[in-house]
Amino acid sequence: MVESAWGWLIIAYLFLAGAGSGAFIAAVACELLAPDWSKALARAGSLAAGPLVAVGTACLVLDLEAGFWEPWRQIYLVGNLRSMISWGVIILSFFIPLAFLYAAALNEITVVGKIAKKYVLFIEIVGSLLAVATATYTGVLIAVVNGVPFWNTPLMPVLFLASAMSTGLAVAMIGAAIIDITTVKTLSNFALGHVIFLAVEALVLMLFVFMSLTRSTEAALSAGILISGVLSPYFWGLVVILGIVVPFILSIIEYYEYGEMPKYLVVGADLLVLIGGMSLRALIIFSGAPPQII
Amino acid sequence: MNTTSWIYKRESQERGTMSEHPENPSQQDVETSEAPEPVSAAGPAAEEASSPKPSNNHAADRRGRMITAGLLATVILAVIAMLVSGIFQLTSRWLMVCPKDLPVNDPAPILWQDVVAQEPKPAKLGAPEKLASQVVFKSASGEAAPPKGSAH
Repeated sequence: MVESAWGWLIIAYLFLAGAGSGAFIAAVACELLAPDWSKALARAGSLAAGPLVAVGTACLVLDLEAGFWEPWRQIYLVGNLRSMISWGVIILSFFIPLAFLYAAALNEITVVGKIAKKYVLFIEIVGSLLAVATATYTGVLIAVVNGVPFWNTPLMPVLFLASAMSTGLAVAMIGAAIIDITTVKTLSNFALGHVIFLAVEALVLMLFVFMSLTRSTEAALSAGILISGVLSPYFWGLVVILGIVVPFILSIIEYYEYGEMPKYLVVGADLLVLIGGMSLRALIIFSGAPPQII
Repeated sequence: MNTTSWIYKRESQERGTMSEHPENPSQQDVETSEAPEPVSAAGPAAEEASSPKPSNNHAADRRGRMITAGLLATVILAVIAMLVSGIFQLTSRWLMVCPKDLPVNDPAPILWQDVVAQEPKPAKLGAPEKLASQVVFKSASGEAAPPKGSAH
């Protein structure tokens, strides 16, 4: 497969930044709403958020080849405040250190963490806003491309935000299971979150595809590639069945079984959500690319 | 059973108890939460001196485990990203690209053929024959002279 101008580095950025910001939101939600029995998940989410978004942003910088070899040119990225790209750079520049600071504060890592723990509520509020902005910006980044009508829709940021929430929760749950495998039973409480986020993601994805079919010729052709064209095996297999339907059913069973489900199925459902999230981003990028790319 | 009691039941299940309501905790809850702490006869100062302090190793272990968890989560995601890209890369070789799948029909070859195929036809000099047959000359009095072949 020949890579286009929008290749795997951008896809990795979209996936990692979305999952990282979603993990941050999941951590804050656990810390604020259920601080007694979701410590492991909050800690795991906070620890994963910063590195994930940082690695994703590194992929974005690597994709900017000129900016990578001549880094001083990147100062121009924040020169035009009418551009969404500039706002994205500003959001990422503030969110990444704040995510690391939150991880340090929540886990009391180093002296900085102990000092930051006093202001943890402030960090949570500001960080949540920046996390939502980061997750939304992953969709905005490709929605502002006027040359590809399939991407150029306001639904794109909504779809990416919904996917970021489900993948972020999956990251936090996997991290919590790594920290303490006995917490898997507690994770059953969060299966409801998976059910809600996956349902919203499926709904928005359906709207996105159906609206693309009627929006313009080019968008309809791109949507056709996804649902019945050359990329349809990936779309139905990796995104719809493995990434949405199977984890959705497993999460419902997990919620009602409450801790009785085997651990490998609990973690497996989260891994499937992540595979679906990555595949969704790859498919959206490739279906909007010129034909010779595929 | 109302919502509050249902939530409490879930939390109780997590703790290993089965009490139905917070206002009516089970015996195990009572034993767990209200058990009096043993007080030594020598007083709290002696107890503090005799009780082992939580070791720094335990905290360091816990912290190390959490940092490892964060790093592992990042590695797992990177592996998933590479796995998905690998699936795409490998299986795309088996895909047959169908012309109807093209997102944009490239008009360039058709336009180029039109340009190449158009041969300029030789044009005669002067006015075309059709135009010459319809031309009307003005007479000296200013009235338009009837065209050739007119009934007047």
